Amino acid sequence: MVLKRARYRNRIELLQGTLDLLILQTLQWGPQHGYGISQAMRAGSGEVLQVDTGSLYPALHRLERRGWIAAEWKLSEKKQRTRVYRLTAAGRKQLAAERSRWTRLSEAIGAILNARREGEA
Amino acid sequence: MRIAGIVERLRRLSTRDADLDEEIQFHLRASADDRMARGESADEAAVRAHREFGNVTLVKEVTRGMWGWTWLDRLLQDVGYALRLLRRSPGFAAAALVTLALGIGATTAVFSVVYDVLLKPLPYPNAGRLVRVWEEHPPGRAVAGNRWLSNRTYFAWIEHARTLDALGAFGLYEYAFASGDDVSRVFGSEVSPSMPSVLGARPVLGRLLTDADAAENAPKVIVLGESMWRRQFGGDAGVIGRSVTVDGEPRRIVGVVAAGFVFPDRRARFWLPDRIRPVPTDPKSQGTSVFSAIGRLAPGITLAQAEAEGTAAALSAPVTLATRMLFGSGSAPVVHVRPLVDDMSAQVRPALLVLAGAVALVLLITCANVASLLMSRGIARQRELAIRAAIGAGRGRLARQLMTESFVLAALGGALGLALAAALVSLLPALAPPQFPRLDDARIDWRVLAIAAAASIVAAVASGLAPAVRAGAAAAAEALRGAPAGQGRVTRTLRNTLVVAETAFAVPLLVGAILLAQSFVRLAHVDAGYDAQHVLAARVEVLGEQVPGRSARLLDTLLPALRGRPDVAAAGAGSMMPLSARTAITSFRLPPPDGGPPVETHALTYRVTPGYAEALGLRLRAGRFFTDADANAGVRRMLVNEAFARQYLAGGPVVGRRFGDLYNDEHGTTTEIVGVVGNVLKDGNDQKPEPEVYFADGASLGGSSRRIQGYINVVVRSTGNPAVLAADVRSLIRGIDRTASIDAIEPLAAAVDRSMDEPRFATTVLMTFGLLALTLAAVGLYGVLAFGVAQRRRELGVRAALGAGRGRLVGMVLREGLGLTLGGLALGLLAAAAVTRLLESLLFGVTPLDPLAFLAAPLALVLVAVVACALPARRAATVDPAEALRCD
Repeated sequence: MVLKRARYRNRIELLQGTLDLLILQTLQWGPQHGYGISQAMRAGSGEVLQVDTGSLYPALHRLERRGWIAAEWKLSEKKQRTRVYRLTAAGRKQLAAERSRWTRLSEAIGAILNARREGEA
Repeated sequence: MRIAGIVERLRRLSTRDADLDEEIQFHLRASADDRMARGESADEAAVRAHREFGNVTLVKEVTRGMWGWTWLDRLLQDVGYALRLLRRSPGFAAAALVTLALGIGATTAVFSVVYDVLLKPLPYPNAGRLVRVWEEHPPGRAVAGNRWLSNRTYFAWIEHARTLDALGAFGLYEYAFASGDDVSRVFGSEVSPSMPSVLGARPVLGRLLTDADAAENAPKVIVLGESMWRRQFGGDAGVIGRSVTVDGEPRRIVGVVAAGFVFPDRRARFWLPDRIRPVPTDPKSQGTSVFSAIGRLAPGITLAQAEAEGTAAALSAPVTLATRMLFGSGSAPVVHVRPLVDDMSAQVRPALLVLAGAVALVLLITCANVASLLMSRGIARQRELAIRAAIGAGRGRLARQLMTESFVLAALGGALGLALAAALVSLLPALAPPQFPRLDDARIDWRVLAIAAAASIVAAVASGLAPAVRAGAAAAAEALRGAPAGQGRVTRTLRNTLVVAETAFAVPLLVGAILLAQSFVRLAHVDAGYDAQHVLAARVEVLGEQVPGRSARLLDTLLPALRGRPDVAAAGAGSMMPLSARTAITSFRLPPPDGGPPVETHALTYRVTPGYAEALGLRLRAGRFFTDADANAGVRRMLVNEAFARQYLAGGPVVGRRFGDLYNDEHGTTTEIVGVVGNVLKDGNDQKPEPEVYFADGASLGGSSRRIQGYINVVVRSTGNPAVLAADVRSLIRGIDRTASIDAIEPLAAAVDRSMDEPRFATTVLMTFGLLALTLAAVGLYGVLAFGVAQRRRELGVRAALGAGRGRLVGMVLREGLGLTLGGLALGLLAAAAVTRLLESLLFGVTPLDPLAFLAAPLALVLVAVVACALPARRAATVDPAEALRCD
C-alpha cells in the first residue's frame, strides 16, 4: 500500500539535508538522545526552530544507517533506558563537508538577494 | 565498518520495533517531565507532550521506512494477506491446493525416480568408465535376446587388451542358502575374480575373490554382501572362516563386500566365484561358454575404440557349432560396448520417459486449472482490487500482490506435493516389480527438493500470470459501480482457452493409457501353449550325493502317490517348465526327409515324465502324449512342437517318423516322434515361439537310459484350487527325501501373474495419470461453465422471460461445454497421433494408431464433459427470470 506522507506544518519548513546538518552539528557538542537533540535545536535557534518529530526520528535513523552517527542504549538521569546518539568519525567529516556546502549556498543566496540592478543606488 | 554495521543491523532486527517504541516513549516522558517542571499538571503535561509530538504511529511508519527493509515488510504483509484470504475461502483453497499438490507431487516423484534410475551415476568408483560388453552374430539372434560374451572372444581379447582395464563375468541366480539351521532362497551373484577390480569394490571385512578361488578344484568360498552380513549375522566380525551351505555345498566365508557394491541389482546378497571356462586346446572340441560381461574402459578410450578391439578379438576366435547354437546362425561377429548405467536401465527407460512426459502433461493441466480458479476469483475480487487502485495502488503493486498470492498458493501446494512425493517414493520399492533397477537408491534428496521447488515456481508463474496481468486495468471505476461486463468477457475467453488446452493435454494421456491397457490385455490373453489354471508347480532340487538315484526314487514314488489322489487330475515332472529360469538347449542332427546331408537343428529340450503334458494342458496337435510304456522302450520317444516341425520337418508326415543317431556320441539309437504339441512360450507371453522337443523321461539318450535328475519341476493339475495341495505335496516330498531342497511350491497362475508385473505396473501408473487428467479436465470445464452461468444470469433471465424453454437454456450451456470439449479433442487427437509413436516399444499386439484407443478416449472425454455440464445446465434451466432481472 502506498501511503500519502502527511506533512506537518512547521513554523519554518526545513529541507531534509538541512535537518541532517543541524543534527550533526548538535551532536558535535556531545552525545544526546532524540528529545535532547530537539530541545537543543530549539534552544540553540532561539525558539525559532521547533523540529517536527515526524522528521526528526526518521532523520536520526537515516543518519545512523548511513554510518554518520552511532547509537547505544544508556540510562538517563532518571534511570530510564534511552537511546543516545553520538557523532562518528565519518560523521565529523560529513559535518565539515555539509558546513562548507551550507556556507557556499547561503553566500550564493545572499549574493542574489543583495544584488542590485545595474544602475540602482 | 561495513561489516560491523551489517552485524549491528542484523542484531537489531529482532528488537528494532520494540526499541523504537521505547525510544519514542522516552521522548514523550521527557517532554512531559519538562512541562511538569514548568508548572503544568501531570495529565495536562502528558496530553500536551503527546500532541506536540504528533502522530506516533505515523512517525514510527516513516522511521521504519528509513531502515531499508520496506520491501520485506511489504512482502510479509502480502503473504499474510494471502494466507488470510485462503483461510476465508476454504473451498477455493482446498480445490487449488489439492490440485497443485497432485500435480507437483506426481511430477516430483516421477522426476526423482527418473533421475535416480536413468541419470544418477552408479555408486561404484569410476562408474563412468564401466561398460556392458556383448557380442552378436548378425543376423542371428541370441536365445531369448540375451546379451552374452563368449569365452573364446574373452580370452582372445584380454590377451592383448589395450582399451579395457578389466573385464569380468557376472550372473544373478537364486540359491538355497543355509546357515546353521536357517534355510532360505536367496539371490546371489556369480562373478569372475576380475569383477571386484572392475567395480573397484572394497571389502569391509576379510578379502574379496581371487583367481585362486575360481580354479578348477579350489576350495569353495563365498563373499557376503554387507547388508546380509549385518542382518543375518549381526555384523559379527568373527564370521570369517565360518561355513555356510549354498545349494547343498558347504562354502567358507572369506570376506564381506561393502554395501555400495551390490551388483548387479538390489537382490544380490553375496558373491560366489565363477570360472570362465578356458578355451580347450583341441580345436575340434566345442568348449564354448557364454556369460554376461562388464568391463572398465581404460582412461581416454572411447566406446568405439573398445568395440573395434573387441570385434577384432571375436573375429580371431574360431566359430564353433556351439557358438552358432547360442548366438543364432550369422556371419561375422560384432562386439558391442555400452555404458553400464544405460544398460542397467535400458529395459525400463522407454517406460520411464513416457511416464515423465505424462506427468509433465498432468502438471500443465493442474496449472491451467489453478489459473482458471484464480481468474474467476479475480473477477469476484474486482471491487476490492478497484478500491485498492483508487486509494493509490499502482498496477505494479497490484500485480505484485496477486503474484505473491499465487506464489503462496504454489508454495503451500508444493509443500503438500513434496509430502506426497516423499510418500510415493518411499512406497515405490514395494510397489514396483523387483527387477526394476536401482530403485532402492531412490529417495528424497536435495535434487528432488529442487525439482519440487522448480515445479512449484512453474505452477505459480503459469497460474498467477494471467490474473495478475488482468489486474489493475483501467476499468476500476466501472468495477466499483458493479458492472464488470467487459472484463468478464475477456476473462471468459482466457478461461475457455485454458479449458481447451487442458482437454488437449488430457487426450494424449488417455490415448496412451488405453493403448497400454490394450497391450496388457492382449499380453495376458496370449495362448502361451499351456493352461496355468488349477496347476500347482513345485521346484525341487536333489543335491548332494547320489543325485541320479535319489531323483529317480523321488519321481517314482511321488508321481504315483499324487495320481492316486481323487483331487488330482494329472501329475508329471520335467527338467524345465514354463516361466522357470532354467533353459536347456541341445543341438542334434536330423536327416532331411528327401535324403541328403543331415541338418543341424537346435531346440529347447525338455525331459518330461508321462503326465507332464496333461498336467500342463499342452495342446495336442497330432499323435499322442507320452505313456508309461515310452519310458523304458527300446526306441527313444519324442514329442516336437509346431515350430520345430515347421522349421525342420517340412514335407511328409511328422508323427511316426523315425531317425537314427541324433547326437554325436550315439551309436545305433532310434528316435521316433509320437506327437506334435502346440508352441509353449516358455520365457513369457511376449516372446516368440522357439523350436522345442520333449523326450520321455528314461528314454535312452546317449546310449544309456537317462532320467530327470537334480533339478525337478513337478506339475500337478488339481480338480479344484491348486493351493490346497501345496502342503500335502511338500510333506510327500519330505517324506521321500528329507534333504531335497524345495524351492517354491505355488500355483502356476502366480508365476504367470508375476511375469506380467512390469507391463501391469506401467499400465496401472499410466491409467492413473489418464484418469487424473480426465478428472482435472472435467473439473476445469465445470468451473468455467458454472462461472459462465453465474455471470450470465441476467442474460439467461431475460431469455427465460422472453419465452425460452428450459431445453433452450440447457442447450446453450451444453453447446458451450461441448464446443470447448470438441475443440480440445480435435487438438488433442492430432497431438496424440503425433506422440503415440513414442510408445511403440512398450506396446504388444497393438499399433500406436490403434483405432479403438483413438475412439475410446474421445468418447470418455465427451461423456465426462456431459457430466460436467450437467450441474451448470440445470442451474441455467432453473433460473427464475424475475429474480435474475431484479438483482445485479
